[in-house]
Amino acid sequence: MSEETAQQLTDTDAAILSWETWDRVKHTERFAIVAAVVFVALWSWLFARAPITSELGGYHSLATTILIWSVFAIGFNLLLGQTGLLSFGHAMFWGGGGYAAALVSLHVYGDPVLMLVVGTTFTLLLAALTGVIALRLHAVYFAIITLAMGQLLYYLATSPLRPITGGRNGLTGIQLEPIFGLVYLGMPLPGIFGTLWVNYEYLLVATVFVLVIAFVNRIRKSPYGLIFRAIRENEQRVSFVGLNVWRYKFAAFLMSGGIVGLGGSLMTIESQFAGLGSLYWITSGEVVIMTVLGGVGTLFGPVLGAVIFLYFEGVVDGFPIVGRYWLLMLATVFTAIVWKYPDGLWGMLKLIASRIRSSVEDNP
Amino acid sequence: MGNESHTQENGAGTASNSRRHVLKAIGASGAVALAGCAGEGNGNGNGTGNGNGNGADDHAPIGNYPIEGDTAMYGWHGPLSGILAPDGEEQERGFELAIDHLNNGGGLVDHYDPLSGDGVLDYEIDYVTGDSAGDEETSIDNVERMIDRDNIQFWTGGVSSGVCQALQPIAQRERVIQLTSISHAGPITGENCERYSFRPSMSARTSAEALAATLPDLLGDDVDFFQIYLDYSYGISNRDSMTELMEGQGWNEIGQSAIAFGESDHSSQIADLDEADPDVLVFTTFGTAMADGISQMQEAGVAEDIDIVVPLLSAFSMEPAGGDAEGVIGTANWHPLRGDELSETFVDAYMDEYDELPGQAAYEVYDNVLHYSAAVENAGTFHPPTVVRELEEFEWNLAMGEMAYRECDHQASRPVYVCRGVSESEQQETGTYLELVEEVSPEDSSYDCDIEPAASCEMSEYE
Repeated sequence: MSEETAQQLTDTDAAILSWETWDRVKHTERFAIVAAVVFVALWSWLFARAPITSELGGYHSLATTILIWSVFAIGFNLLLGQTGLLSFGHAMFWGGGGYAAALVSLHVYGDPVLMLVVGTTFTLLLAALTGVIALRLHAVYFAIITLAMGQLLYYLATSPLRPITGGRNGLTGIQLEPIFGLVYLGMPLPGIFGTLWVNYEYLLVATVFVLVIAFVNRIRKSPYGLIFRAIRENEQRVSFVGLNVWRYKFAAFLMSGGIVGLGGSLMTIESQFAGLGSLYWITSGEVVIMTVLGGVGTLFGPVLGAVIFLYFEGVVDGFPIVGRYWLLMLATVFTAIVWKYPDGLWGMLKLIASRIRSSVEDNP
Repeated sequence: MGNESHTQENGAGTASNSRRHVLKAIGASGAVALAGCAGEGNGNGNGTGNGNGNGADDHAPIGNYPIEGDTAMYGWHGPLSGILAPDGEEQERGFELAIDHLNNGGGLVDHYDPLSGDGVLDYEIDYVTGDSAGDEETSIDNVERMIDRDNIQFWTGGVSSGVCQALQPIAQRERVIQLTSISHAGPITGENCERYSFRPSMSARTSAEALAATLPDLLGDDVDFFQIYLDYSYGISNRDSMTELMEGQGWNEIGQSAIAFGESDHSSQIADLDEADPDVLVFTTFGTAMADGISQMQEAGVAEDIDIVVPLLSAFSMEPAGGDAEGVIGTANWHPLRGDELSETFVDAYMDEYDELPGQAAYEVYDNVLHYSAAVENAGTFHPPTVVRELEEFEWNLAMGEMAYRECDHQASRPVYVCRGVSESEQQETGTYLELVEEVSPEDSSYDCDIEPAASCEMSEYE
């Protein structure tokens, strides 16, 4: 294989740049990870500070927030896109992870890594508990029971658990300690790193983002993930083959919940706040919109969806006059894209790319 | 871009220009500026000599200081959608009027010595605004945008106490000064207090002190009272303050009933109230919930013999209630028909611009912009820790009367305006929902630093 590559290198440049090479490379696991690394390395700079692209009005803290919501959407998509289970209660994991991370920093210690670990562990437990109940139901009943459980948690946090959750005011006063006792996340990075990534917080968020991409990609490429997809296509057939469908669904639910909880904990670290909004059903709806907008069942689609959604919420919202209609504009964009391209933005990009490619191939 | 970007007509547009300007500067100087933020103190001394003579003080960069260029950004952030919007819209108008007066003179700027009417410290003032929607997460995102992209030096506005409390740590973390408005809950200048956050408006305790000083005269001495309150920090801190202070006046609390936030059906609370049969109801609520509550009490026939006290009264409550709120007693931060010269000056300027009578929300934000700018002028710099220190001993006396911040909890000691709701026909006639009953002096409405909520305040650091 390496000889072959070397030979191609010596042969012609055209050989490495050929469509065949591209087709081979783009489906490798390593390619997805490299793409994710390149993306996060340039993302904040391109979005907020690069000469031309930042004219769109992006800014660094939004770049960070987008990566965090992307983690949420990727985790959600593992359940919806990969396994075909539509949950309307994922805010419980997002908010649950956020509250758990906030509580550990308030009452124990505010090391960001500890917060991530506790937030994720809590959501895994929560997912195990809710999964046992919800996964007995199918399709729309599953969506409804997850919605109901999410709202149950919301009401618990609003009133009965107020001494713990802070009720309507949420949890404030979250103090972050240096990560591993070494450096505060708010510290600026030196030199070119500062220009690219601004501070250590971005590095942490970017690292989690890449790890989540790598993990989900591993699942997608593995035989295990193949069974998820088989369940999505035809649950009954999978059970006829002799596989325990419930167990696979449960595993998908756990993984999805865990990733979303990880994202929620990151959000607490970013905003130093955990509030009821994160548990509310609208949050569950927003992640559905992001995922569908970006492309259900794709790896990077949910990221695209998060970018568009939060760009409208965070930038268009601030435009003079038209700004207050951002939600209406987003709804229009959403409807137009989903109507024209049922596979979302990612599907749209793929379609455009393949059209360009075939026109190039036709006229060499 | 130079001269054209200085008008304040489209805040957001000019904001992004100035931000990019700064970012290019950061890019050009590599990370020198950023390293400076970390306080490594390697003597890079940037921030000086930026060519317009303002950067002569050599403070290390902190927050959004130093300012690049000759325009300083201010921010307003409050509710333009949702149930709190009536006050938010007033605030935004008051804010824009204040910026106009700072740059071009007019209004109270002409009557306030530290201000010139030609910008602040030779900087032209530009601004950005954001809609909080009364929601904590949205507000955090918006304020981060205003700080991060638009480089605001300070911001004011807001109604919800929950939002205010979620934003206070951001002011502290980013070293950008926040002057709160209307937000009433105790913890804002109590356990949640921050060095970079100041509350010029009343706290629940300030209102309760003022009510304790006036209610016995208005409603009698030996009074049985009942409380219905919203079950979260705004309601609870008002409930606690009212219980303590009214009982101190010899009033007798005969019961309490909580109502969940967002609940509009008051029937079980009204049943409790009817059973208790008090002389006075202390009803801590706001917005449409207050309107619903009062109209339901009237339908149930329990409101006739009971005087209703709503500790905090403002447009967002009075507008939906309309004539139903006639006779309701409560407190406000200011009253447009106070009758003093400065209030009249403000009312005239506001009516010229917007053709309606301003409420407390409009004036309060206007006042915040002015007294912050005066503190900057006195300090001679926008350097945030210096301005914070200036504000901590700042006293001013504009249309709200004698105001002074205190260092212990950043709560202003201030006059309180006890008001009463007027009938629908009077509303039409005067253009205001409230008549002024009594002005309570700062001495009578203040409380000591060792009393809750102030006692729980542990101030965070300056730099």
